[in-house]
Amino acid sequence: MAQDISSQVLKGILQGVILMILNKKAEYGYGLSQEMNRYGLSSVPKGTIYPLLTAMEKRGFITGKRKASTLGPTRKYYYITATGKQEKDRFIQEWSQLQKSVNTLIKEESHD
Amino acid sequence: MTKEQTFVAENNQLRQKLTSENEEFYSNLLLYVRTRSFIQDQEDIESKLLEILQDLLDAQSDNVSAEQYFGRNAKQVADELLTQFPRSLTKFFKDILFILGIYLFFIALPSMASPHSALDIGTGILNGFYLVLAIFLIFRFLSNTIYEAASKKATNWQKNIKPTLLGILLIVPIFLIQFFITTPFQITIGNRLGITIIVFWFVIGTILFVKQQDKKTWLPLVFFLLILGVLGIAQRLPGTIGSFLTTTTGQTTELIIVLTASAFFLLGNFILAKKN
Repeated sequence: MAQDISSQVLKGILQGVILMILNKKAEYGYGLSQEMNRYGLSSVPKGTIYPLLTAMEKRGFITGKRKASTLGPTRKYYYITATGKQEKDRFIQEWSQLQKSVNTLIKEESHD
Repeated sequence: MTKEQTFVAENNQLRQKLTSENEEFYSNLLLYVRTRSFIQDQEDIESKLLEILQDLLDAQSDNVSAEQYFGRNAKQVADELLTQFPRSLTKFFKDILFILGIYLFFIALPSMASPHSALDIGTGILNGFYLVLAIFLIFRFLSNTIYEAASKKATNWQKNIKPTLLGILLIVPIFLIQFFITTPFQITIGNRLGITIIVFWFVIGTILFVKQQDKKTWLPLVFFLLILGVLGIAQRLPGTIGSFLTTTTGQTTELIIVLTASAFFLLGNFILAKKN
């Protein structure tokens, strides 16, 4: 159960990260994984993004379109939707709140 | 070509670009997802599989192995992925009808080659349903053992003996039903109607064969069925050929032809399997 909660939390965070990256520009799977690495998420196994992308597409946060990539072959590019943008804003708000609470606790811990 | 077929063709082509280590990793994932998604929409599944393959090739060109990129828990990721695709009842019934159709086609045509025995439609349908169940069980078994057999610790029992035993166990009932069960639903087909049905099957078979992309794989089976069909027609013909085939010499000749055709069928499949 504890593992389930932690994996759910991780998925929620990853979803927020993906939405923020896609808000900058549309990406395909590998491009997205490279962007994640650029932000220090290289330890996240990238297999996890595929079920997440499918789930996000189903919820209407993103939309996928096949088009020619910069390297040539047709790839599935993901675009953030209006609902996805709302979800991203909600994530940022929640994350800021959570970060504030955790940081306060850490500060108090270091003073003890 | 449907979208699903285009994705599969592109996948087959691109997969050859993977290194042997990456190919093994991806093939396990591919086989696991395909055998577990029997009643799900294949177009979405194949699109996702192609997407993953293209990304693995990108990672490979950056000297990152498939396992390093995708992670070690491929089975868990595949399970999560599969939960995202809706199950389709229409697809389920379409698959059942397809398997039943193919099965009835293959048992009915050989039966047509011997005009004097009755065709037991009841046994045919019973075996067709059993075959659908067996295919489901085989798919389930395959998907359950892919990651077990792929592990370096897998024993010979897990890798070879268990699948072979299960295969035999599932095939035996088909013959038991065919030889030991008779139903009242038997029909004897007259000569003219027999020839008409065989010709009708030839037309359907030719259309299906022409539509196939990979004709070579089907050649041994097509050749075998063609011989059976021609024999079926020959026996029903009035006049010298028809009467000759009812004599002992005629029936021996027929047996030799069927055995030679079977040998060609087995040999052809063996050569094809070796090439692949």
